[in-house]
Amino acid sequence: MFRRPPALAVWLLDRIAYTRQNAALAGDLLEEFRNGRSAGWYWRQTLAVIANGFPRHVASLAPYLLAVSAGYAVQFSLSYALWSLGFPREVTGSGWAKAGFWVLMQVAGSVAAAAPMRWRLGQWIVRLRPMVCAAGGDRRKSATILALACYESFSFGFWSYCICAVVFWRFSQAEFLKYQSIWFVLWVFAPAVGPALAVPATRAGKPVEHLDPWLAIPQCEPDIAVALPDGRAIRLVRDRLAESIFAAASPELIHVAFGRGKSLDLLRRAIWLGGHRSRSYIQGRAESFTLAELGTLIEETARTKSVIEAWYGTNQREGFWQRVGVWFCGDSP
Amino acid sequence: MSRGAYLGEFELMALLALMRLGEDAYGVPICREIEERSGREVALGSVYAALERLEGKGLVTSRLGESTAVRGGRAKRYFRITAQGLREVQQAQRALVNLWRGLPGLEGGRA
Repeated sequence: MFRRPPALAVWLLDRIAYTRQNAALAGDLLEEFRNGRSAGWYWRQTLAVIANGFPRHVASLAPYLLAVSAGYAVQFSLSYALWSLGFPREVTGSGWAKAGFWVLMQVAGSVAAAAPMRWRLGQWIVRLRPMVCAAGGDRRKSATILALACYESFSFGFWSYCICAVVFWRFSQAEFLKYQSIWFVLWVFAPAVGPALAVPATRAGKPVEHLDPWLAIPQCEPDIAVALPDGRAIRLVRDRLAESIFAAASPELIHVAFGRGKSLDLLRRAIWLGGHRSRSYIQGRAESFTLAELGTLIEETARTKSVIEAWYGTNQREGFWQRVGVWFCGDSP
Repeated sequence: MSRGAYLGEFELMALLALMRLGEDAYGVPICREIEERSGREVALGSVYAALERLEGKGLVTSRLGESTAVRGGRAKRYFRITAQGLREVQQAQRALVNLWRGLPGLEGGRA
């Protein structure tokens, strides 16, 4: 069994867009660690990757930041013009009337902000930032996502201004500028460059592509290529697993896949894990597994209860403090 | 590479390591080669950053190789110096030798 690197460092690496795009770097780190490097070395390398990757991440998001800033600038101009004209007017009346109006504004604002997403992308809540990376070189997709990001930034700011203007109080110019700055940092700038640099591979055990079809290409395509001993290469697809294995008519593959009580569910999990590990997420290039590697992958998956556990390398059979140790220091050599 | 743009020290070291390793140059041996020759610990992330910069300048090419279980199924990325990269290294060597030549106390590698 291979040594496991510090789980927290692996988790951090998995969340940096730069390493998700560069699977070879993550592979090199793992190879060196398993060749006898220490947990401290793995941590130093991880931090260096983060330091190297962050400027690239911000640079890659430049079009997105520009789009949200442009949307916010338009909103700021419109809100300032309305504020100068004293519009919209403050709601007068009881606290209940104000609360009711506040709820109404929240609903209306949410719908107004999300409706274009629903109309264009088919979902009410979408994550535009990773989508910019996911769209890659597709200009039409990128333009759509950037236009939606621009609108989202505009609508968030304008919605916030309207709620403050009608429900709370007439504010001074200094307060107007202060609130605008706070909204920009909290809702536009911080989420744009914040720490969640890459979306998690799964949510509640479901692969992301089931939730965000636009993210399907870079996130995962749960299939793997297997090189057979006779020189052929076949693709194992999770949804048509039994068919693709038997269609290959390779006794060696059937033995590796179904020998000694292996279940179809176990194989599906193994392929999900293998598909994740072998892909360079953005480039979408797949590597072939040999039968021996497929066997190792299945055995490794069999030791875990779920794909999440397999992916993060945790083992529920260990004691709590042992798991804490693995989290920070990895397995001892 | 545009006229007047010089290779950085680390970029030059990475190119020289590629030349020494030949066909087997991927992240791990490149990093080891630089560490052994320079005597300093090198971050793999920095090596990749330098190589990607060099690839952008057309001095290096890369291809994905085999994946192994010890690498968690991830493919190796092999790098290779291009003809233009080789010319840049030779040019850098000439420039450095010319600058060194005649400096008292440094000639011939003796301090």
